[in-house]
Amino acid sequence: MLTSSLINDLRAIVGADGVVDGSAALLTYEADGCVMDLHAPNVVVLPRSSEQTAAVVKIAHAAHIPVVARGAGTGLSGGATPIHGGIVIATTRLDKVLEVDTRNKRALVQPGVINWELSQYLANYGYAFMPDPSSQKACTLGGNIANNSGGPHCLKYGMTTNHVLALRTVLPNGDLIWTGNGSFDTVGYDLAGIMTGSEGMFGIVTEAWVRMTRLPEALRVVLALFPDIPSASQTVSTIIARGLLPAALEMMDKLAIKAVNGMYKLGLPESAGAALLIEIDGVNEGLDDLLRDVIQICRDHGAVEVRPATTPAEQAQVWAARKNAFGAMGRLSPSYYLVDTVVPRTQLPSILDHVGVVAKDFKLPIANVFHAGDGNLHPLILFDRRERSQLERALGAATEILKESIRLGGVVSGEHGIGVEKRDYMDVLFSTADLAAMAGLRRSFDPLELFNPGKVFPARKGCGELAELRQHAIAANEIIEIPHGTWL
Amino acid sequence: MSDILQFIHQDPALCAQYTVHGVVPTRVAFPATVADVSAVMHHAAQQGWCVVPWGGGSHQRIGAPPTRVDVVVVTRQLNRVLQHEPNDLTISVEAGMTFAELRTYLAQHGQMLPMDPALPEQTTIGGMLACAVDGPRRALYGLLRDVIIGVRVVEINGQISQAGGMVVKNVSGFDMMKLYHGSLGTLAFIVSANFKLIPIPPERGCMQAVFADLAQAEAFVDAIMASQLTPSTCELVDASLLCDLAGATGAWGVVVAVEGPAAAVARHQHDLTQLCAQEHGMATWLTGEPAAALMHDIADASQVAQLASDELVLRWAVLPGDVFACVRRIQATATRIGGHAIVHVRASVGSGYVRLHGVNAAQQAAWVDALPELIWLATTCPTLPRYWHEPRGGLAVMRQIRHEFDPQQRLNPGRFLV
Repeated sequence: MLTSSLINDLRAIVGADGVVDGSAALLTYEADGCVMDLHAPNVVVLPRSSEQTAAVVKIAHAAHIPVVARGAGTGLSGGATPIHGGIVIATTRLDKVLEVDTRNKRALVQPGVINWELSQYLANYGYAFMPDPSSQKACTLGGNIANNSGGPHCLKYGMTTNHVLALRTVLPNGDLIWTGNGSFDTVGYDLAGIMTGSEGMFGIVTEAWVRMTRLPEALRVVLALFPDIPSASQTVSTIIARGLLPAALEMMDKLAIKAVNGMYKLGLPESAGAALLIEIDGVNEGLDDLLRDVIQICRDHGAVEVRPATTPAEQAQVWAARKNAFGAMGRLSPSYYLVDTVVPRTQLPSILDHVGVVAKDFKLPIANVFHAGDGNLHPLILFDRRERSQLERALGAATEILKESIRLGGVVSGEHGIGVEKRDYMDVLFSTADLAAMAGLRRSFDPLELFNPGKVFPARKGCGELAELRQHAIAANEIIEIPHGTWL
Repeated sequence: MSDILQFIHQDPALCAQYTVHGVVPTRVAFPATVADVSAVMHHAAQQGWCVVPWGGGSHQRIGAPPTRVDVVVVTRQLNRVLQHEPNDLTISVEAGMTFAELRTYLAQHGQMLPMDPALPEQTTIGGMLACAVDGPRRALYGLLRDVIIGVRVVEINGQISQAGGMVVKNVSGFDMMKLYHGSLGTLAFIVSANFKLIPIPPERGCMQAVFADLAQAEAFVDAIMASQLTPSTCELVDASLLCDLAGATGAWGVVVAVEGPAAAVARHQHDLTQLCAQEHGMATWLTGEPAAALMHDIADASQVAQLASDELVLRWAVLPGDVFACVRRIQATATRIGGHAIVHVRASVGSGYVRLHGVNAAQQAAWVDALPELIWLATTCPTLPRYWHEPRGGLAVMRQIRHEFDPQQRLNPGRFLV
């Protein structure tokens, strides 16, 4: 696929130290945080500029070679795994914050900037980049944009897509475009909106104007302990329904409490069945009234203990426990399969019941650490990868949970993306016609399907097949199918 | 399929009521269900008809005139709430529901879709989506773009497809909602959409601050932007749009709305009053009906449904920091080209409007050339070429998307991205 002369062309663009093609070194790039499907690239390129990135893509386009963009490789759905080989373009060297424009509340960043580092940097100016995935200390802005990443504070502040103003992007044909100038409206279709969350299939972002949000004047954090999951999830439903609009509303179950307790010395009673971490923010006035209402709702639903975290140090400790909960699982089990799924918020008690049943049926412990306020679950199925039967049971349990999510009116990913991991659930969730429209959009950007091939669309019903089905249907004025009518 | 002729009408008087930019359609269709829309679109494809979707008709003047209209398809009978679970704070509604109908429905549940389109009794949800309509509370809540969680459309051949869902956080599949938002009815026929809702805040109020000159208004807006206050509206308005209040006269006003817990609103009122006094403004705090009336008037200030023959409305966008420079340029342009200009701007997000009265065709053309920040224009002037400035980037890929979704350009032909 890649001749040595082509690799020399790549070296001419990015320099000898910008090309990785040793077979041992390439193994590093054969997967991201999802280790179910592995495939090494033929070559990895590390450009230092938008122009270099565009030049690399032009070569790939001319030679019909697949291109996969990669940030920090923390993705959990295989989005950065080059399952058809080809060129991986890693954004590692595009790691600068180019401009902080406080007057317009926006920052110009390269895609390799780490999410946490951006917010730390912006804190000096009194601002933050609000999306805060749990992997924020490692994950990059480019990856956040590709996956439309979330995080605990998305409950109030929205996902990455609500914080992207304009993108400089290399399109699959090698054209380098800006989708706008960073003002809030542009003429024409909303390319920045369409590209955010497109999992590296519409273009490679090389610069982005992102929104900076003023840090709130004040915040309150409270940790409430409940005897069991149902009482905690009823509390979540009530807080949402009463319209108290917390900045974050996170839940941990008994197993998760056990895992983080030891590591973060939280001293939580391990008899507690569930913990809720609630943050509210805004101007100082009114916050204590809100906090009082929140605490009252917790008590009304049987909270056994309510602990306000008053000092910044206490708040940081509680948040560290939540954000590093996945790492703490290492104390309980050698491997875990982290499932990302969403249900309507009133369905939380039902889906959590079901997760408990699945744990019993598949004889694997499942911990829950998740964005309860959004209805975004993260069951962690604990298993030992070295035992083949456990791996199979873990996959089976995940399938059960995802199917139940769909049955309850939910979807199959809230913030991790589809990638390879979930692609075969897409035709369970969507009709052929729905997928065909998405395939049509993808082909508008990339008729050769070179950018991140094999992702998002089901393996048994690929993008090319869907797009051709649609084009034929439009040309012949035929209907692909009558929809099954989720909302009718 | 023969049934569809029952809701396609050819009466010339009826067709004339659905004139799009001076183009009288040959037919008007009134589908009552999504299946009806699908049947009309399928039939139109068979006949090779050009189709213009029509909600309340309040924003049809945005965009260039269509080159041909064989059928206007009116969504007003698609006006149902399809799904609403109040405790989930989500709703699915049909495209032909007016914003006022939706607002009234949601108010019964203490909830809102925090948008304020012009002419809410006429403007439909589908129209708001297609035209990316914004409102004064955009300062806090954004656009429909920011709260849409699902969409259902009928494609050019009658195929029904959907994306997103009824959950508030979702990355399952591409974001087709963003594709259709602001596409001016050129990609597919929007038949329903799902949104995140928020509860109606316990307290709200707004300040009308009046200033003798633009520099003072600018200093006030800058002070708000630099503060940690979180108003829902921060609108710079021409004094003619203000409430008539005794003693409050000046050239410019800034209307700042606030909503939230009572104590937070009181804090905003206190701080805003101080900031306004520092900049020598005259502040009046409004609540209840007078506040609602002022907010309503500001929302309606961008209406383009009723335009006189010498009237032109321009929507423009700049970076928030460039708002006042642009307003000064507009003032200079008015002196140079002529016309009575009424300006209002969502100042904290840089989304502005200028309504011009008393401008002839030549003056209107000169205005369009003078405003490179133009997003769209609306006028009844038949001679004005209504092509706005080209997209800043990605025109080729936009055209490819258009071609993929509507290869024969039968949806709103000539309107957008021609």
